[in-house]
Amino acid sequence: MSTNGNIILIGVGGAGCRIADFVATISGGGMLATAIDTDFAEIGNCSHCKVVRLGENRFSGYGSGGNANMARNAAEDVTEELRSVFNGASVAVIVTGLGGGTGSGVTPILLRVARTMNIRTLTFAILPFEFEGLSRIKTAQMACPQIDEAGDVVVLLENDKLYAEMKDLPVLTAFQRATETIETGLSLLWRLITMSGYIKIDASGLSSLILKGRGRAVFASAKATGQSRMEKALADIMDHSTMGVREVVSTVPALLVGIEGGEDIRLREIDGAMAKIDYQKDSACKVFVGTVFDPTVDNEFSIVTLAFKSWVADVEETESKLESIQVSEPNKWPGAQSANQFELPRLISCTADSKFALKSSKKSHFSSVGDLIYKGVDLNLPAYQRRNIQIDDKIAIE
Amino acid sequence: MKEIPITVVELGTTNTVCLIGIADKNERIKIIGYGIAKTAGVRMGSVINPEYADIAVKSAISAAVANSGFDIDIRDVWVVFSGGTTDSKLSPGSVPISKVISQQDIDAAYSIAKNITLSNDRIMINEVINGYIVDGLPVNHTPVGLPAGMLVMNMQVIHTDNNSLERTLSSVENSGMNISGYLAAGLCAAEAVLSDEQKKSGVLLVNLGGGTISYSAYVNGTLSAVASFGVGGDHITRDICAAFHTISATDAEALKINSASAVVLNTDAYERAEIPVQPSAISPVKRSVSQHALNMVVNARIDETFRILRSAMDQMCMLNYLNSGIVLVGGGALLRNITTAVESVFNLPCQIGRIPESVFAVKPNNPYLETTLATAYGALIMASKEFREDTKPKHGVFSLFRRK
Repeated sequence: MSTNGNIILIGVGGAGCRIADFVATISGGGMLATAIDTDFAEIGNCSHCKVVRLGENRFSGYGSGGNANMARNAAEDVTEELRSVFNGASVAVIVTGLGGGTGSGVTPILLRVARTMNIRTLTFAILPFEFEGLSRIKTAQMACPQIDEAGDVVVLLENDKLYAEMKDLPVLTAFQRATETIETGLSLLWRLITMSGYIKIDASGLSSLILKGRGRAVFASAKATGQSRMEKALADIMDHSTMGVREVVSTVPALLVGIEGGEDIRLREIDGAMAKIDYQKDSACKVFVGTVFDPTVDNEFSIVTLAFKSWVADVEETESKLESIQVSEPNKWPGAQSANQFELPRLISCTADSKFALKSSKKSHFSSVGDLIYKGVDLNLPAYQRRNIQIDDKIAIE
Repeated sequence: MKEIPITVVELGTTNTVCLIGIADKNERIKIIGYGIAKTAGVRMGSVINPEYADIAVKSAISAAVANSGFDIDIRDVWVVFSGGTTDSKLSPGSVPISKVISQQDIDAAYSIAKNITLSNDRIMINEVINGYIVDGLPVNHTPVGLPAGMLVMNMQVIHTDNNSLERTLSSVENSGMNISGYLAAGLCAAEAVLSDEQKKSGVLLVNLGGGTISYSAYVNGTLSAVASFGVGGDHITRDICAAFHTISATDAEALKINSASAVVLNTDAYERAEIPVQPSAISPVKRSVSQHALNMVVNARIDETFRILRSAMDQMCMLNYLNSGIVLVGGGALLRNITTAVESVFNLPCQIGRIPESVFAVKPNNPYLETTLATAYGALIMASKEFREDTKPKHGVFSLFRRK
């Protein structure tokens, strides 16, 4: 297995750390993986990852207690340390479990840090089961838009939909299965990127895909053995009750397909799978294929798909547009209509020319009482809006 | 009264404060009268509507005179400038010494240190001599008579936006007062509440005003930085208004004062904060906001503001030298749990600074005044020192600028 230093896998929060550690374990040490958590007992189990312990002073290592706000503050305490997590990487694959404090609070901060370092991010965010309670679901719902805004490509994995047909399972098993499925899918994607194959997708290839496919994406994986293994795997991935991509494939503008097999994999199988996908997809859909041959795998056919819901073909043009927007109005992005849609600046490094680096925009003739700009951010705008804290109008005021 | 009373006026964004003080026989300043008036026409500590600002100054002075119980004819006042554009710069002045340091050498070093270049829109407001370096060794006293080869005078120059300062001074003058001198707010508050011990071990004093935050940082007993920026308690009020669309600014201010907390607690989730019914309400309806949401809004602003301060301290490499932690004064220091919020950002101890109750000639009916009047009381102390220094040789610790 080759080491790919340009791609880093980061697990955030309890669920994210477990998955990152699992993927790091099966990769046999050939990858950069980091686990970030506020629960020190939990993170202590991550033996194959570099570990970042957050909020020692705030939580004494017992976790954020489901408080995303406090977890976010703990992350903001150590943004420099978070920056060092990305050192040497050009693409970061981030796995996070939403609903708890650490995953929901820390992930947006981590993504923003990555963005300031110009690192492409592919985020897998796992949404909680419905039975976990309204509070956790709401926390996850509040974190989603923040992750969408700060991240590049975001994949939402809904536990409930994944296991709609397994309602009778014990809770522990349901959690285990959820984690396992995601782990399997992710490790397949990881092998596709890092292992050798005849048609390879490397870090720069993935970076380019992320750049062009910014927005939401749908992720699915399936594995089958025996005779007609290709057909079985393909049927699984297409028709899975929720991961099923048949509907998605027919509408998405771009699709990444990864196929893995042992030395016994036939060209006929790869060709057949791609022909079936080609039949389903929209004629304008761009398809990117990668194959991995793993000699340790026997009589198996695995397939992984990442369907991008948005696609910008001429990305250079878009980048130059973004640059021009940053120069004239660094706080807002195309389509941002109101302060509610305000987000922290992308790719901006504001040079400090005074202790506070506070600059007046000199809107009025009183030069000193214009809007306050600090590192490209207008401090006169409500702080909670800039931090993407959602206030639910229905319950906020009565 | 035999003693000559000293009067200071602080034209703030939300309140204008006037203090009248006299020095007792131990040269300790006693507040004999205080007046607080609501301010209008000031934004971020800078006057934008002089007519309203003049009224606030007159009202505060009248209230202070009335509070003192004496028939004092106030003509001269010291002005505390709390504009959000203040900053400071270390300016060393070095001179070679032929044999022994003389007063002329000190004067020469002073001239060099003071000869600082500022941009056209800035004006020097105060200068503080931070001690001397004689042949590479720090000396805290005036080193006249010491044999040496090189003398360096370290001067902290506090400067601000000249238009902003000019408008504040004009407002005070328009109220019929002569200006004796002016002082930076950040500098004053430190004089009132910090002990020498705290200054020696390193401390950051933060004055949380309505429209601005000013601070002064002391390391090794010397003033290392003074600055201010235009974020204050008003921003919290505005944030609350923006978050809960149907409440007025008055309701938001009441919520901030009565219910808001600077930290979000898990216990807030099911609590409600009642919006006080305004006496002027025609049909009073009891309304409430989510305590959790309210605290989230307030915490976001407080956390962000202190992170900016922390970053400033970090940039100046002072963060590791603030062994006495952070001291808060001003109206914003009354926010619930603010010390916890600040401690979590700085990871340093934080406390509320208060002036002793004994400095009031008449015990005030509101204990909060011990914090909110700290800046103005510090200005009284400094003005009193300057008053006494007038007859002594120049280049005291503080050199205050007087109105021409």
